[in-house]
Amino acid sequence: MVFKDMGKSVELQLNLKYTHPLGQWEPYFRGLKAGRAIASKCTICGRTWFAPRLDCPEHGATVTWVQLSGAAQVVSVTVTQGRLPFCVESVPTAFALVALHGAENLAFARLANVPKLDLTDQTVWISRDSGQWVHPSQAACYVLFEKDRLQEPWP
Amino acid sequence: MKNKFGNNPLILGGALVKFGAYRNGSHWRDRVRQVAGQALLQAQLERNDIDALVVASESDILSLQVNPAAVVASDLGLNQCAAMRVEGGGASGAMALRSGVMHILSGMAKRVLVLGFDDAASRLSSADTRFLYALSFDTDIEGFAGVSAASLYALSINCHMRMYGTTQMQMAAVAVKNRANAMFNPDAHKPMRITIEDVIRSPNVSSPYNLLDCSLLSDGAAAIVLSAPHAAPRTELERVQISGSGCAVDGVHLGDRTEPHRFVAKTNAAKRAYEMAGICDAAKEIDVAEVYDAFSGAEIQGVEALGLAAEGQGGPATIAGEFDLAGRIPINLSGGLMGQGGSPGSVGIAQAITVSRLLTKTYHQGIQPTQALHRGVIDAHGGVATLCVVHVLEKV
Repeated sequence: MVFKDMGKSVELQLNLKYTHPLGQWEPYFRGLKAGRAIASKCTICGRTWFAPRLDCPEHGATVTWVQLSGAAQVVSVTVTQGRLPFCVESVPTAFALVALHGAENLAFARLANVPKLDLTDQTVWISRDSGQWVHPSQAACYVLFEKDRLQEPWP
Repeated sequence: MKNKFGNNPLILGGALVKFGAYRNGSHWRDRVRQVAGQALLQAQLERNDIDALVVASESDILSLQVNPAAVVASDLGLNQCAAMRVEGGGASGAMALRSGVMHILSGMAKRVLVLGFDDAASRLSSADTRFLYALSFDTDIEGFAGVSAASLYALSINCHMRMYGTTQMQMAAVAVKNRANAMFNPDAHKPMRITIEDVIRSPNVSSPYNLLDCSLLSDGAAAIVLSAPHAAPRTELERVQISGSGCAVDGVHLGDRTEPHRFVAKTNAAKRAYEMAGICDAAKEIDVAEVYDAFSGAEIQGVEALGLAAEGQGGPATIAGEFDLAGRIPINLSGGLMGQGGSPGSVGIAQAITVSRLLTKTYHQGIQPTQALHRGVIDAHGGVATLCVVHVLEKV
């Protein structure tokens, strides 16, 4: 902690080191790191969620992990001015709500590029972000063409 | 209207500081002491008369103070009373008010000091504060992926625009109205006379939202004194009671909601508050409202969820002037979060002060409606209407 005397105030520089556990979402995050959509599926009713739920909201039952195709339909898009957490650079970034094929719910998604046209109702594919990321949830993005997918085997 | 408990809490007094950015060396504890003293004075009570203290503060990072209720109690000389801290994101102040109501209705306290604060403007950089606020969604799944309040609200209102044809112009009309209302409020952070064109031409934040569609980050503090009717000092002055309190929660992920364009939890919270207050048709029985306008479109979604406009009609009703000072139901006469300011611990309490003053015709000159007001609603939420708290206030 660094102090700076400013007369009627004191400026403090806070630097925190935080260990962020991945908990039971670890398969989901491992999938994102490989550019794969790993969803949770209820062992009773078969309903599937991406982003995952660790218990079925209907049955309270345990879930199993399944891989989805990674194709998704865009439901809503916004272009935000700002920076990703822990990133220095502030650039326009496109975020979306997407419906992964096979999933009950919608997922919050970052598009690989800021689209020139409205992508609502278009199909996109989950991919591995080729850039640097700080947290596994930043590792995946969505691309417009399946040929642009960067894939690695899901470990 | 008496609720099923038969002892609606009375508002005896309330005070707030001018919302703003305090970079003059003053501390949130200075502001807390100021509003507490003024609220007690207005309530005609001494500190010893208070048997419970409820403190709202959204973030320990903004205050660098864990366990603020104990610190506030000590500062105020309330060492013998019960004390607790309440937090619910942007609904923190409203949740503290609800906690005060619960204290009175349960009989656990006779007189409660409800107090809220947060210095959201001047302790951290705005980028760091926005990052902090992004942690009020799902940090693990979405927070580190880059989610922000602006992007989630934008994704929600995009769905509303698509569903109902809500326009940027209708949303801009909210921003114009609330900032203009704030011109009459000396406690407002940023009163402004602007046009719809100004809003639409302001820099993009998260499409469709531009800078002037967004609410403020403010430093603020507010306090209110609640009392059981039998424990209130006698007075000739008009008083206001809290006749309804409702709370509800929705999926923390926007994508888990079947209708991401609707504020379903707000509807459910309102239903509970209205039922408690005996309200059957809010659009006809509510005279005035303070609605949580985190973003311009969120007020449109909010008025629909509260039943003050039909689904999809919030935008057209706004641009038709139905929520103006002289309109059908004046909304956010204080200026709301856009004009008065956004200090999460303070907002819900400040809303109660605003509406109680409006109901008793003691609000600021120039913004007091001429028609008689009997009943008002106040509304706040954390997340994108994830945790919602609604109260009904009415003249005794």
